[in-house]
Amino acid sequence: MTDLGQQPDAPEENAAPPPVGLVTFFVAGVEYGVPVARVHEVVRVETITRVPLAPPHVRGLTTHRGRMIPVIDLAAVLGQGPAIIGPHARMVAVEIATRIVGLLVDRTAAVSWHGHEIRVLDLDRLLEAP
Amino acid sequence: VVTSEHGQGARFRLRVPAVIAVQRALLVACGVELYALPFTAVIEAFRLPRSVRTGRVAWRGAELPLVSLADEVGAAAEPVDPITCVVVERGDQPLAVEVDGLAGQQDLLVKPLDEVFRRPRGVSGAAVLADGRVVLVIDPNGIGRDGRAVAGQAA
Repeated sequence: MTDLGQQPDAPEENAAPPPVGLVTFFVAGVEYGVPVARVHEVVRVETITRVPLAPPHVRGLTTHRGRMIPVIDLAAVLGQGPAIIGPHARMVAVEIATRIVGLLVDRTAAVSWHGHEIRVLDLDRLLEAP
Repeated sequence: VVTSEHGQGARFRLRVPAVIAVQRALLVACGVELYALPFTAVIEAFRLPRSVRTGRVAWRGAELPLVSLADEVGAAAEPVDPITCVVVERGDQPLAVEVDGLAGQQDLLVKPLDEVFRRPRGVSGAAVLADGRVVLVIDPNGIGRDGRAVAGQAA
C-alpha cells in the first residue's frame, strides 16, 4: 500500500491530477471505489456483534487484527440496504478519521487506476448521517 | 513508534495508556448473543421455572423487579425454561435480570463504543472475548428504567 491516492503536493509537470489507485467493489450491483491509500485490508466477514439502538447503516462490531471496529453496511448508506451477506461478501477495512472502520461490500472487484465508470466514495463524509 | 539510524541502534517508543480498564465480567447468553455483566454488580444468580415469570421475583424476603435482557437489548430470544435470574446491584434497588443462561466469566478489557453507535444507555462498552468475539458490557444502572431503556428498536 503506497500513498498513491493522497499526494496533495506531488510535483507534477502538467496540471492533470495524479492517478488515484482505487480498490473497487460492488454494492447492490454498482461498482464503487475507495482510494487504496485508505484501505488497510480486505477480509472475509467475521462474526458481527449487533449493538442496540445503532443506526440502520451501522451493522455492529467486529474484530480486526485484535481491535474492535465498527462495521458499516454500505448498501444501507447508499440507500440500498440492508446488505445480505453472501458467500462473496467481504469487509473492506478503511481508515476514517484516525480509526479503522469496516465496510461491508457484496464482492470485491479490482485495484484500478482508471477512475472512469467507478463511483469514488468520499470516506470522510461517509459516516455523516445518510 | 520505532526510529532507527544506521549504526546507531534503534529506539522504541511505546505509548501505554494510563489506565487499562480490565473488568471481571459474567457472561450471559441471550438467544444466540452473549452479553457481559460487570462482576462487581452481580450479587447472585439462580434458576426459576418460566411459569413464575411475572415481572417481579421474590428474593431474600423482598420483591425485585424482573427485566428480560433480551427485551432490553432487542435480541431475538427463544423462550427457555427454566430461566436464569441474575440479581444485580443498581443504585437504589437490586434488579433481577432474566437471561437464557450463564456462559462463564472472563476478564475483559472494556472499551467505549465508537461514536457511530448511538451510545445506548444500558451499554457501558464492548470487549473482545478470548475467542475473538465481541461482547457488549451491560451497565445495570441503564436497564430496567422507564420501559425499554436500551432497545427501542425491535428490528
